[in-house]
Amino acid sequence: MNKRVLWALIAGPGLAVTSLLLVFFVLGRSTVEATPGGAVAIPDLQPQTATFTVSGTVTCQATGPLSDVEVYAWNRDNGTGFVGDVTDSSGAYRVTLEVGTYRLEFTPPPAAELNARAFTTTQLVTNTNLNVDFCICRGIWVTETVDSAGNMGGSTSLALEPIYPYTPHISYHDIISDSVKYARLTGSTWHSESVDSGGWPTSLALVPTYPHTPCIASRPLGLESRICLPNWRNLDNFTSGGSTGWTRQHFVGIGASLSLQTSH
Amino acid sequence: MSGTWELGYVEPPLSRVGSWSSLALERTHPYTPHISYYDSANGDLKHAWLSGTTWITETVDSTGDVGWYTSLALNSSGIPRISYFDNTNYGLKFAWLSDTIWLSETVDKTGGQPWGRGSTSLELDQGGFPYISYYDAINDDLKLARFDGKVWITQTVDSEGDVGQGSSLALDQSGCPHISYYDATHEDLRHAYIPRRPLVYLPLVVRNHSP
Repeated sequence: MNKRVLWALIAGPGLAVTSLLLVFFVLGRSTVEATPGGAVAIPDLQPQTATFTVSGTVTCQATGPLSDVEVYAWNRDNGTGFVGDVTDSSGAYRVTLEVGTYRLEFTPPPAAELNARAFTTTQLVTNTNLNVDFCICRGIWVTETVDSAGNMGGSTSLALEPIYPYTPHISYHDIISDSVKYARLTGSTWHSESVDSGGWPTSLALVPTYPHTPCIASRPLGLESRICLPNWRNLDNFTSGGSTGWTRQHFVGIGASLSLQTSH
Repeated sequence: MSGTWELGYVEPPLSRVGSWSSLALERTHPYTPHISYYDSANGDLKHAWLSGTTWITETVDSTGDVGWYTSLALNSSGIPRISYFDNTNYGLKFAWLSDTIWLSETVDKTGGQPWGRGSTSLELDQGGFPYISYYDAINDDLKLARFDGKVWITQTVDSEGDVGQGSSLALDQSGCPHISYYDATHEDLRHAYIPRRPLVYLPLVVRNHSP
């Protein structure tokens, strides 16, 4: 291999790491070491104090600094939290914290476009000041096709699981076969299956507790409605294609709207 | 989930009410059900809730032919809010209960008559602010409206072809919206969402170090 190329391969990443080390060393008089999970560990030579500061800027890739972003600190040790600061016009914030492990939440103002929150978990036990810069996605809609096999999608009903990653479940109408279908996102792939032949779905709800079994109210032809429950109660069976059908309960009425309470 | 279903009438039989109904339960016992629905006999939006064993009903809005495609949500105090379509003025409306009086306002005057293709879907975020997905029958688009505490902000979510019929909206715990809807151009089921993850994520651990 050409010596110049070899030197560039060695020196390039090396210089980048050296620069990163220098930045953290100057800011916090620290050295940097890797930790499991890809986090950056910064051992500090300063004596431990009762409080320390986290400061930095909140930016958006598209628009630059974000102002009026609420910085909320949640102490994972005692389960308490508070608004530590709100970013100024340059996106800067400064939060003073006591020793502990925190989850910092950065929430843009409601007046901004639709936004997501940014989260990080930070364990701080020294008085080192750290710059933590985030980029928060701003109102960027992503659209995707869930089911394109035929004429799908009329009368949709969507519900999200209550914990991360907030898996979406959808009931919908297969217009050609006039039947009820159900789809669930697994990872980045949508899986779908038929629920009931004849009629269309009117409402979907998830059992609040794991495994968040879907329940679908549907309306077949005639003056009745149905509640459809999957025979698989463990969603892992669904993702492996192990569906064994749905159980239907009939009742009188047209156009049901469904909701579930915790005990049901 | 077991037991038998108990069936009952909210309004007397043959009242010609109940189209486009939407139901939500209060969060605590006795999980009082609330229902919004269309009174096709009078062209009104109505609300019903169960008090003990008796259904109480009331008219929410009777200005013109209103109450199509209703969607009901309860805030953290169990107070109902309703989104619906105004079929006289062809607009999206929102109603909320203020003390004992129902108030309403037009959110978006779309100007189109969806002729049965419309829908509204209402959710409240953790601050109680409403989000509504709906179909713009003039432009055949999926739209979203949200109230930020001062004004309604509307945006087009998807405009590729005839999209947005039969939409259903949900917010995740971090307030990010997801919408399912029908793509009538391609005859597909579609899903729109705003990613919740930050584009840059920097976990940090700082700890004491003995040289």
